[in-house]
Amino acid sequence: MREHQSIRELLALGAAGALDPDEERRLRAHVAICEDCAAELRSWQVLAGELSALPVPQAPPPMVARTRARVEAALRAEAGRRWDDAVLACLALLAWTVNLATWAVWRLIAGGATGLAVIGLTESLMYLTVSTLVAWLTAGVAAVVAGQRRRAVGRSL
Amino acid sequence: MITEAVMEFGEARLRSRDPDALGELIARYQHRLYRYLLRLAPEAAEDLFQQTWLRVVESIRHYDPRRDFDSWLFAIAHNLAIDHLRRRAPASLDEPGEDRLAAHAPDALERLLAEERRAAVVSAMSELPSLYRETLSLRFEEDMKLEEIAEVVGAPLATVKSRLRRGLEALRRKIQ
Repeated sequence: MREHQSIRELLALGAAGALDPDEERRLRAHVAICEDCAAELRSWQVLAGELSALPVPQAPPPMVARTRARVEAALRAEAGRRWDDAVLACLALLAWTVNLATWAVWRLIAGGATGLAVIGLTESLMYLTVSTLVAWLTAGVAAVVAGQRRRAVGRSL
Repeated sequence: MITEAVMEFGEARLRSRDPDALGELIARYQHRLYRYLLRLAPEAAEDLFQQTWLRVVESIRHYDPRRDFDSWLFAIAHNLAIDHLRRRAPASLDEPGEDRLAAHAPDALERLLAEERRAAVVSAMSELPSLYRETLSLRFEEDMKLEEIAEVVGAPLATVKSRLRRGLEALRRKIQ
């Protein structure tokens, strides 16, 4: 009787094909000798069959078209962001190159041919401070501009 | 083992986010994914459908091709739908007990159902708590194994088994 009750609780899962091998074996053995449980199992199997046979609702074509358009827009936006990143990296490289080159030219003008060899500590520190401040200011402005652009792209998706 | 869908569209094409490959992928999964979202959150199925594919675009580079693609895709949809349901009605995501969701039989689906019995099944299903609807849909409509369902919903196997049994019992009570 206890086995009968225990099997009753497995019938729905048995019809759903969700029993482990041991439970499946017990179920099969029991329904072979218990007409009540066999009938109950058939009833669950009918319901399981109906669930499996429900028609697939078709995704509305306009919705799919809108989705594809949004995906393509997202891909374009990301390509744009990659391009922006590359441009920013090039600009940063250019800025540092110009910065160092300016320093060298300035030393040559100020000290003549031997200017590069004689480096004044105070002068160099001042140059370094000013150029660093300018670089940070420029980077800050670029970051704000890039951030605003990214937010605008994000809102458009 | 690489998933059939990933093999078919080419792992490299998907990772590089080739628009054509992604378009083909959307076409391949459109009805199944829409059905799943319709079952889980009918009122937001379209929005969630779009969000799912946008998330796929963001994440496809990190997709491990050894992982089953169906489970990966449906897990993304599941997470978005659950977030939506949490925002809408936090209580609806508790393990179902007294939970009752408003009965929303999707109009588009209802029209497709020719037989009264099928309509009754669909209608009864739509009245089930969302966690039961989801489990039944993944098991019977998506034909997923329990392990795959557990991966999609991020729950232990025993929980999935319990939801499946309770979902079936609740469905039958409603039909009767």
